[in-house]
Amino acid sequence: MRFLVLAHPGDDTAMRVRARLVSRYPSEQVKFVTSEELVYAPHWSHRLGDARPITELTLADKTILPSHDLGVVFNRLRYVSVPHFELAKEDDRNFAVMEMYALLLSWLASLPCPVINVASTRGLGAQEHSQAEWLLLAIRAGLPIQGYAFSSDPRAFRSSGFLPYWREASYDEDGNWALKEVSPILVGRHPTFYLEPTENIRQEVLVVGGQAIGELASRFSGELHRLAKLSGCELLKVVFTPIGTGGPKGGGSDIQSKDNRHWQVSKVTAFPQVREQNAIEAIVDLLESRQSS
Amino acid sequence: MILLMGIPSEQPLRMVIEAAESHRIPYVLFNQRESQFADLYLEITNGKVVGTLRIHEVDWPLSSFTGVYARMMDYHDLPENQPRGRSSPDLENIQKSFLLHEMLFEWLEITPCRVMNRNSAMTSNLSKPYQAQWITRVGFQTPTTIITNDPDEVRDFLRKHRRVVFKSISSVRSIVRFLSDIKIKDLEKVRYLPTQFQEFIPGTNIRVHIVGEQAFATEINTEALDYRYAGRDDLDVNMTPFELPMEIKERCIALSKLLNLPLCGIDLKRTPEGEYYCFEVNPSPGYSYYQVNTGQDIAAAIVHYLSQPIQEVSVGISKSPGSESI
Repeated sequence: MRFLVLAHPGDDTAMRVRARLVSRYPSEQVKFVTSEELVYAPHWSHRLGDARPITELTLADKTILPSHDLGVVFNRLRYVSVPHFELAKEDDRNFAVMEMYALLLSWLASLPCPVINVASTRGLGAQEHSQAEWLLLAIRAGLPIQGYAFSSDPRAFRSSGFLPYWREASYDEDGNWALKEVSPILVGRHPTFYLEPTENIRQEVLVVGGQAIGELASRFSGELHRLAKLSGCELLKVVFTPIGTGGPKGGGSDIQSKDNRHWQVSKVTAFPQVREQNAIEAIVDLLESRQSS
Repeated sequence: MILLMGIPSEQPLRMVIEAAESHRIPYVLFNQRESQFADLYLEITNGKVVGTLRIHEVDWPLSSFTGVYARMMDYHDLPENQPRGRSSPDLENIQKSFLLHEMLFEWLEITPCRVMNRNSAMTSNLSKPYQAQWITRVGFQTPTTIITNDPDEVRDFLRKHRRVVFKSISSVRSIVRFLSDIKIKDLEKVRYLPTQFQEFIPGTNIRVHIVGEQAFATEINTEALDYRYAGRDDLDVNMTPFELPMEIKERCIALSKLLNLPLCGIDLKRTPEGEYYCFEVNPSPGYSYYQVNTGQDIAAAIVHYLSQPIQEVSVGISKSPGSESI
């Protein structure tokens, strides 16, 4: 089996990648497996000892996943659900989730083939970093960043020059907490995030292996590649927003642009939703190039 | 100046506080039970991380801390965030508590000062077999293990190894039990959830606490299979300080560095033949239990380690095992 795609049901990006792979390769060489199929697999045998771990995994459709004969894995798993424990006591259900998560983490980490979106202590299928961490990684990579601050009580501390935001009880499309801009007169004592003001425009760059796709890709090519290396992620979406006209900012390369916008990193995600055909092609090309021989 | 975070009545933190006081190491205490009297300001701009921690109206610049001992409980479980009788907790206070704790953890990941321990490193313990793969990298042996949902595999494993124990795969604490303790028909239950079975390794338990470059080894003698629960079986536990062979000590220190856990409790077993097996690395060890029983001054080692000047004044991201560069 050359390509194994692991994803949650409804993961549009994973399904598009699978469809593209199937258009290029015989269907028996491409397998799409959902998280639930892994949880319901009737035969799991994960052995560890002195030698390299060996796993025998048979799915409910009788497919045997040959852990030592896979070309490459595209891993889009993020969490575990255990539907067959839905009616169990909460403690038992939580225990089941933790146990399956632990097994999947160990299995993915033990695979001898390349795994795009490596499983680690930071996440099952994405290197989960906080906003502060991503911004610092961007700084280390040489990218300019949107200023970011937090105050648990703006009466005690507030950021001058930055705009206030409250965290919403919902997620954005990348699965991160959403922020809502609020009027400074409403802030009061509510815990508040502050962001450097930007224009209401954004540019996204997708980093796929050594490639960067997007209007700002060539301008920040070296820095984006460095960011991917520093974060240990082969798939990244970097969102840039402009601060408008003004002098160059410190901490990044010269970013004077034709329209005088100074672009800076406002968000990074290691779990991007990808729909554009050229981007899907780039992911497939990456998987092809990384297959173990 | 070092920062101590958690609940000060809890023995591990209390002993660190006492050690800081007796060794005259200045410290600031963030008491989780009083987090409503604390505030945090954190800013990232122009390539720098700056911030202030305010506790009971006293401001501490985050840059003033050389080290942090963080032994915090989940903010959900704090009594202040729980209902009291018929009174619901204040939702505003709960939200503040949630964000304050989250941002403190975020700061701990990016601060250049020494931290015992960063969350991203502690999560290696979420999966024992995952951690075992790291343990073998430093040259330790680990018990032969199978994680399976197939009863036939379990029977086959039992035939090969004769004495087999079973335990949780994740960090959820479980009591280690011999497989023979359960009825054979209960083996069918593994079909619902893969379970971890290991060959039983006979020998003497040794717990090694690593604090930076120091190793404190404790030999534990007991008849109990799981010495942590010896009392339940009315069995005694006897602990004594133990001098590790240099090679094993170096492996333990290497393991703590590999896992980015400058404070950890490593569970070893020495067989009658003198071989050492490693079972687990505990990222938030209850070292105080061992200190009380042996007199090993682990708390002092902690405060001295944390009070060392920061050598690298650069912002960075803590390295977590598995997140290696491309």
